[in-house]
Amino acid sequence: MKGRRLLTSFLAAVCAGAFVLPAAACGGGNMPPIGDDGMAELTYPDFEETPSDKNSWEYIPEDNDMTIEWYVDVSSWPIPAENDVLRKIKEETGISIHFTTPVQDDGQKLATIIAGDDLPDIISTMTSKTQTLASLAQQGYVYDINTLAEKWAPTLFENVPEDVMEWWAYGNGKTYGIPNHYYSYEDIPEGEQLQPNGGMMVRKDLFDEWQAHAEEMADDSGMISYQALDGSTKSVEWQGYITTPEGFKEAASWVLGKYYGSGKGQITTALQLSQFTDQGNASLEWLAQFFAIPFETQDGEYKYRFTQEEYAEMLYWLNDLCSTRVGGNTLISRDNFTQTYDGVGSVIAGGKAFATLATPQDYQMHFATAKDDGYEYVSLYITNSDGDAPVLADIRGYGYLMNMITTDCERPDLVIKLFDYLSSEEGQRLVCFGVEGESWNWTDEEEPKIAYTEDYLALKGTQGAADLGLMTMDLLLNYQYYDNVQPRTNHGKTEAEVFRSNLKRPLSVYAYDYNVTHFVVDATDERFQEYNNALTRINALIGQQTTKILQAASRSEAEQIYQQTVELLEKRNLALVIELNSEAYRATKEKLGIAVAWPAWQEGYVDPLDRTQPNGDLSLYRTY
Amino acid sequence: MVDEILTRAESEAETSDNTAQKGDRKIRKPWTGNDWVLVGMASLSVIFLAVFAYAPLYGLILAFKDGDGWLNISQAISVADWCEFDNFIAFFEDPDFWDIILNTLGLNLLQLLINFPLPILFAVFTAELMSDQYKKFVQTVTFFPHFISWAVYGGIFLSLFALDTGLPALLQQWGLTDSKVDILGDPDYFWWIIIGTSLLKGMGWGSVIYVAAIAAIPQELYEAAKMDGANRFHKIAYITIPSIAPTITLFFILSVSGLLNNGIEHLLVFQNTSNIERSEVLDTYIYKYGIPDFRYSYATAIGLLKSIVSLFLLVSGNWVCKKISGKGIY
Repeated sequence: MKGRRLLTSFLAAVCAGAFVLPAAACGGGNMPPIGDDGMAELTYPDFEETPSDKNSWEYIPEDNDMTIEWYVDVSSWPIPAENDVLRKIKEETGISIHFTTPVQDDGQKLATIIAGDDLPDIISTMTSKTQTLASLAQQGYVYDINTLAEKWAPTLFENVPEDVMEWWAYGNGKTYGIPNHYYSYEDIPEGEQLQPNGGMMVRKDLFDEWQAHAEEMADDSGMISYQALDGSTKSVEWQGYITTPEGFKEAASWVLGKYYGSGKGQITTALQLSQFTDQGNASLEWLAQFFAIPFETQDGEYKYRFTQEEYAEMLYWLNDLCSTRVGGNTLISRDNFTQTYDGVGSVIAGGKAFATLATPQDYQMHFATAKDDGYEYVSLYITNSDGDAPVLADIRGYGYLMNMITTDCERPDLVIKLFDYLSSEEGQRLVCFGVEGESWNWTDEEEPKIAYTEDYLALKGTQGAADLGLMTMDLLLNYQYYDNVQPRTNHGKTEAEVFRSNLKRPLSVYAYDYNVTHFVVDATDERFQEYNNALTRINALIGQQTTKILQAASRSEAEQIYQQTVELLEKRNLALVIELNSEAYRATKEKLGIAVAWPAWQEGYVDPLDRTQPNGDLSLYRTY
Repeated sequence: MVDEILTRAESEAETSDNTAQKGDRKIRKPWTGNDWVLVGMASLSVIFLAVFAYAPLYGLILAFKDGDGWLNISQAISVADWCEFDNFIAFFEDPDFWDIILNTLGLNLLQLLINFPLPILFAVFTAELMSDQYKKFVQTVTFFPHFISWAVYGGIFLSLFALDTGLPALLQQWGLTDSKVDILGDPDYFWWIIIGTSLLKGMGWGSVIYVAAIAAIPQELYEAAKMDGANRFHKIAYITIPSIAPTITLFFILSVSGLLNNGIEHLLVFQNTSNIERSEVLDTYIYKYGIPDFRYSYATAIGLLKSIVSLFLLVSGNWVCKKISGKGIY
């Protein structure tokens, strides 16, 4: 009987504990107080401050031997195996790095790490996750870089461009991380035309065949007359007919009618778009840029794209391509709407699309495979029906991944020195080209600045080259620096690498600075949470409704769905999204010191449109 | 003769129950070593449930707090302000609310109607197979898909139903359809894809419990029925089905209580922007709008709502089953 009572008491205690323990565990944790600026007030460790007379990492004690945890919140980021670059970092700083990544990109691992109060030393997350970045800073999970650098790495301010630091600064003027892949105005050589971020590509053999056909269609003066979308009659040089929406549709119909099929060399779609996701389709963004749909009003105010008449017209044109049948097949295959990334990739790799608006850098290997199989894709531009030159966003931006030092890091004084080292020119050369003397050497000439060693060139493409570690530690890589220093010949490059780097380069003549559109909404604003919730739902709705508009049976049905969508957007608090976007847009323009942001309205803008060069400026092809 | 045997078995069971009840009232035996072992094993389950099922219930507080945007759930629970029923109201006011409920209930009801009885029929028919070797072969083949992940299994169907390179293109080529049927993109097909693929993947596995129940039926019943002139159909209708009825009831009640649950990984494989109006269910909605943006309070509120409705369904299902067949799970 005593045993039974004991057992009953034990089980009762377990059940009671099950309710009491979580309550005790949720006692608020080590939540730091929130300051007047809306950010957590942090206390910094009491390590000796570092002077600025030499590189901060040179102050790291020679006997330093520590391992840090670096969590990269991107499942596809390849964790580098032990290599010479990592060994050199260890040699210079005494720091070994242990990397981890999540299995999926749904944010669950980061949420679990935070919930478990078990933060790594460094967290790298995508700069596009503005709410996560802001919450990490606001709620005291990461240190601000300014204070860390002032105390322990003063030379970091020389190595990370000022405009990058300012771009990511919150309302309190502090920056909470250092990004990679940023394009600072300090690094971009004057007069350099950067490549566009998106691009349109066309299968060269089919394009050439169509052009020959178009030449036959031309009158004696080399012009082709056609009925424009607004019903008027227009004419254009035969070479550029395909660059008009009307001409492209005719070319697409002609090619699909002639080559539709699953056999060798045949195509299954005339225009391939990117994967449709619940957050929209990247191809539509690129097409809006080709159609020169402004992101700004004539008064210099922010303009929301989806609700613009020009954007609606663009959707109707795509709807026309989706509903126009040639031999029973639509110009944009219905398959496109359910394809995954791999599905889109296989269409490109197999040369199954006449033209594609899928983001070229996302499918570089697929384009290379197609070329190997004899289906080379070349760049192509398209304009709106009015004939405005494309206004494409160039590749510049202020970063892809943000690297932040967490408040659980035991030695932030040393980790900020590691950041300083990797951000310096010495560190960048290590990250980009490997160890000096091993994989590269300085050249005596002004250009190229570095030359790969014979040893590296012999190893290239083998496991031996992977052990050298070039480009594996790209978490603080400044690509523009790499571009400035890399050899200006095809030295060290394979033909496939040169091809990939040139994919959309001829379109650079139409590419402009779009930095202002990468504005960051103030996450400390009390309306931010509501804004963020609304934005997620709005993007999802647009993603969902766009597929309906494109697949509508007729233009009138597409118009009806579009109007319905605009009404639904209003119900989902579009007004708040536009309000906060407008505020952020104005603040960004102020930060950049510009009054007019839309490139075509800027002073000194020269219309670069050349209809006789439908592929853009092919002379811009690089040999490296 | 079958009736006699069944009646005798039932009366024996009743006698045995009565004896046990009388014994409970009169004699209280001390626990033996075996009793302690059994109680010890049962205690582990209690501890498991207490720690992993009851302790997390504390987190339900979050449903009534304004904890969206907090990175640390513990802090959100303890520090965030109370917001009463705001999170629930926000969900009810969501423009997609009715679509999500319709999809969740519609898809699950169809699954209950189709995917619930088919494994039972499959088990019954498998049991009727004469050749043991063939029976084992059929069972192995039908069990196998259960062990493949949805990412892989679903991928096979995505390729199979691809518009330009899959079955739709072939059907059109063979002249069986006028145009390519957009199986993956047309919302009208979505529920049927889910039902069909889950049936193919899970029918063998789902029939295991019924196969076991059928195997436990005394062979004498079938032999006696045979002597009475029963054919196969009679044996199924008067022996097999009544014998496994308690198992069917149990699983039916559990299935009813799960009417708001969908296999999220299954749905996400086939979900796309074209079919979203029929593919967005409660589970995918919570996954997409609750977790990535740290909207833990909102997600918790919807989860709690789901649990309450599920509990109601469980109780109702049990009550209805008791009324109809006299059998329930409690």
